[in-house]
Amino acid sequence: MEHILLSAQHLSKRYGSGPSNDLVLHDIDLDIYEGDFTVIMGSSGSGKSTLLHCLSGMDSASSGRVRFESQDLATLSENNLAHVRSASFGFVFQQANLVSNLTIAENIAVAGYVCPGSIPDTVNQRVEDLLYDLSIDHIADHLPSQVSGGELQRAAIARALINRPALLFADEPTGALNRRNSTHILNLLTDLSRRSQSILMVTHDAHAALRATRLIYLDDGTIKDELFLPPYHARDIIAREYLVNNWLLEHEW
Amino acid sequence: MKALATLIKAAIRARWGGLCGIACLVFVIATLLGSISSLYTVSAQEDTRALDQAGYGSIVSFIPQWTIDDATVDSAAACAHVMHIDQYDSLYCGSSRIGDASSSQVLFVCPFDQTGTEATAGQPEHTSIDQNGQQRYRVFNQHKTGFIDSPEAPQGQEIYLPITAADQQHCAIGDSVTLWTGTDYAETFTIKGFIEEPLLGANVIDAKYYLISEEAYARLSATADDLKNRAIPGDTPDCHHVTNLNMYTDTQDSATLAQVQRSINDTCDLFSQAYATLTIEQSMSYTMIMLNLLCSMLFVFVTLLGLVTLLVIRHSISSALMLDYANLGILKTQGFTTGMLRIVVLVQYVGAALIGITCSLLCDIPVIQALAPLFVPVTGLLATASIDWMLCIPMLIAILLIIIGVVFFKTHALTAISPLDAMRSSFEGKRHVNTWMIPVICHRTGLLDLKLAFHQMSSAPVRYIGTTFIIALLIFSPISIASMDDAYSETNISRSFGVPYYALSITDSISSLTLADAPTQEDIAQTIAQHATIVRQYSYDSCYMEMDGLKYLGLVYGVPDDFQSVYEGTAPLNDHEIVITELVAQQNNVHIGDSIELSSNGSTATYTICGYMSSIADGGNCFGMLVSGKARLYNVPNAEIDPTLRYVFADAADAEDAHDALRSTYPTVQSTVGGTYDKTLVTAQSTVQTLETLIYVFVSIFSLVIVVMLCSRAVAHERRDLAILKHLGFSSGRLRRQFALRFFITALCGALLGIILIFVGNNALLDLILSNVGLPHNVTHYTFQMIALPTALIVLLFVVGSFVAARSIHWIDIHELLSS
Repeated sequence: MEHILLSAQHLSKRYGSGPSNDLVLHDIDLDIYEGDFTVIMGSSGSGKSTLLHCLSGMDSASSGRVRFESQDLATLSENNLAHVRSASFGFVFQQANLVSNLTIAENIAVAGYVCPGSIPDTVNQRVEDLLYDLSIDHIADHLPSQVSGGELQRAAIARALINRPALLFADEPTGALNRRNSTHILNLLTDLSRRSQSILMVTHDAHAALRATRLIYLDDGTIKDELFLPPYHARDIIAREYLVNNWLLEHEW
Repeated sequence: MKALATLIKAAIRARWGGLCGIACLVFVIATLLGSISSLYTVSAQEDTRALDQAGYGSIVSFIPQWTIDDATVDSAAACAHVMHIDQYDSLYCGSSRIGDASSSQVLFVCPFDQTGTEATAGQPEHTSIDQNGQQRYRVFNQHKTGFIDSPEAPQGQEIYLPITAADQQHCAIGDSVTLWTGTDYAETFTIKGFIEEPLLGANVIDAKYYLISEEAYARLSATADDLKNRAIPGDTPDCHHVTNLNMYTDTQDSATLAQVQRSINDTCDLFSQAYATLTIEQSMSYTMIMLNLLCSMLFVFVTLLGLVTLLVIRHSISSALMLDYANLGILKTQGFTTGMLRIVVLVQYVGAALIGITCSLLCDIPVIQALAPLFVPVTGLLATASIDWMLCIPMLIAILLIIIGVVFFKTHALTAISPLDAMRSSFEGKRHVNTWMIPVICHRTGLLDLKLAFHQMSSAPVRYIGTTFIIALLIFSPISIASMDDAYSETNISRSFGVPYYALSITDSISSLTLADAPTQEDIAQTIAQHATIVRQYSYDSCYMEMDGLKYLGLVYGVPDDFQSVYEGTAPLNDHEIVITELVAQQNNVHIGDSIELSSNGSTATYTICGYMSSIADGGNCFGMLVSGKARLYNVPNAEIDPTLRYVFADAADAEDAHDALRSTYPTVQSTVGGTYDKTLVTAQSTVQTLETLIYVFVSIFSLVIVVMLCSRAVAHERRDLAILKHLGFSSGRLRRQFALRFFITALCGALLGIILIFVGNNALLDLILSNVGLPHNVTHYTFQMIALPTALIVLLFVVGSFVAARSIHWIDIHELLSS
């Protein structure tokens, strides 16, 4: 039995109030398993980013609950939620969102320092390891404004991984990148997944969806279907594409 | 126009808080400048009006009647620069008591309805009602906030005193006044009211006019004649006639009054016998001395605040441009020119300044109304609450022009905004490229917040260096005024002013103590010592002598050690040496080592200037010499100089105890408590203390306004970075504490800089300000409390203010980082 990392029960999200309120998520039940590369897909306005934000604690649900390791995120105080996000979650944004006046290395390190119980020297060593692993050690002392989009996103991923999170959230991580950089990022995420890093990614890019081991299709705020896939290998790309595309076509994506 | 108006409206909407802050700062400065400068000029105008209404000429001299005759007066009237001379009579009084308090002030007692004797035909008589029906001396109402329309002349034993006496002598209408105390012809009067007397009325002048009824004057006049007739030759009764000469000079004449005085003296030696001779300029300078001091100090303080305000405006504009970098680039692509964008910025800041200035004009009158009565006990005049528009308007226009200049200069940066650059990347990203920033990488837990604070400060060095300078200037002001307060403290006044604070003067001369039945000096000292600790004892005399035709007050001491305020050169060591004040040196163009001739009562002697001393006596128009030096001038033995004894104590209680003990043990020995100028010093002290309170209040207000503006701006600047840090796990409270930490570090740096500025520049500043009152050399003494208190206050205000202002961090939503 796979271990459930994150569980959403009867999750609903509504924006606005009164008669004009907008129900974005409707009674969603979803379990995220450890080790899975879960990708949530859907058309624009389907609520996939909203679902990601509610699951990661970045946004609060209107009803239902989200549990992480038996903790209901809604019951946590701001400080405790911040601790959970710092220690157990990693988040990669579409725009890298690095602090503009910290170097690449500092951006990654600060995320490590702020984690409760962290030891600075251990964090510093981990920063060096991540910079090397993600091939961005040559830009360690550069400011975010001085590096390319792809390097920036790799730095954002390194920052998300600094505290060895239980779950890595990625919100359209390739949305602002060109095809070449997108491929590099997806390769990175795939590699992490192979190393048992649990990933939950939102994308509207079918190429990105191919990397998933579990695909969830969201439409009008409800989960319509899910597809389980074997781990990604480049040699199986054609068969995989065929399977995923057909599945998406069934849902009129 | 519509486009510009839309932009301006939007900009004001976006930063109305900052603009309100700037309006506030400009309001404070404009109000202070406008009200204080108006108070000063209106007071000076009031003094001129009062002197004119009272009918005083350009030079007034008080001469014992028997030393002057009509021929001398005619000779003076015939001098080149003199138009005519009024002369009228008064009675001299050297000893008085109001209630239980003795006074050694010189009084000239006149009738309320004074009729003068013309020296020149066709000139108006000096009466209490002039030819226009105006009362020469206005009588204050009960509350001292205005005047009585038709004051009554005193009847019987009623008396009018100058208004400054009410505060100096702690008296009120109905109190008793005894003149010629200690004589067998003492007269007691009842205070009927207080007058505005512009010539001698200022509290720093140790001579006063008292006005009594016609019948009382006639009776006392006869008494004075009788006393003179019965007096031993050479002996002068305390009550005697004095001729008041009122000299009118040619107003078109380019000669100064000092030159006219010298010319008259050279012609007929008129002033050598006078008790005092005062020009209108001297009278006005004495009257305005405290206002002069206050205005000088406030002007310096307001200038510092003005610098702070300009720094804040500069910072505000820089921040605004950085925050709106992308928007400005977009506007440029739409066709807005740099000039148009400059107008948008100008309108905001100049508009804020205009609002501040306009509000200040509304507040000037109430401020003047509040301040003017405070100076009545000092100047003896009541300044009307009105704005000197001729002075205020140019000043306010100057403030506005300076602000326009600063805004124009700072908006030059608009020229460099490239539309494409601005839209591609935020200014923040580009700005840090060439900035050296303190690294954040830590090796110890617990240092992250400190390192982040230093890092953020180093990433915006101009902002925090500017803030450091602002804090330095804010800290400088209260420390500077506290050092001035310390200079006026009881312990330091002797060093600063040259007069002891707590002193008991034996007004009987030393020689009278050798008479039979009189206690000896040793008896007196022993009695005093039994009841109070004597700090030191010295002999003292004073006299007026002429130096190059001008009269100066001579302070005569027994031994060189009695000179407490010599700051350059040495105290006189023999009978050929004198010390002078810097004011006297400037007036006579002399220096240490020069020889100068002194003359008095027909005697002349030459002295060498051996040093400079600090003294407030006669507004600094004084010099110091030994008893032997005075004896040499008069060619008499030292013993004939006959000074009085003074005993100095550590506090008022000791002085009063000693006084009470002496009076009860030796009731025939006349004595007074307090130095001659103690009332003046009390007034100066309270003026400085009032100013110190004002400065603390304004500095606190400025600090709070500035820290809220700076911190709010910084939060807006770093909004995105703060959202990222929140997302990473930094709580709002922790981020707020980091902000407070940043401003704490900045405040400490500013405090250090402010303290350095104090040690480097404060003495020079005080010398500049206090030279107006005859104290060009001030030795400041800094205590830990003097420096720590304002420093702690301002640092605390910045820390607390920044923590409070950073509360908007709570509302920074990490949603701002999200793509949809």
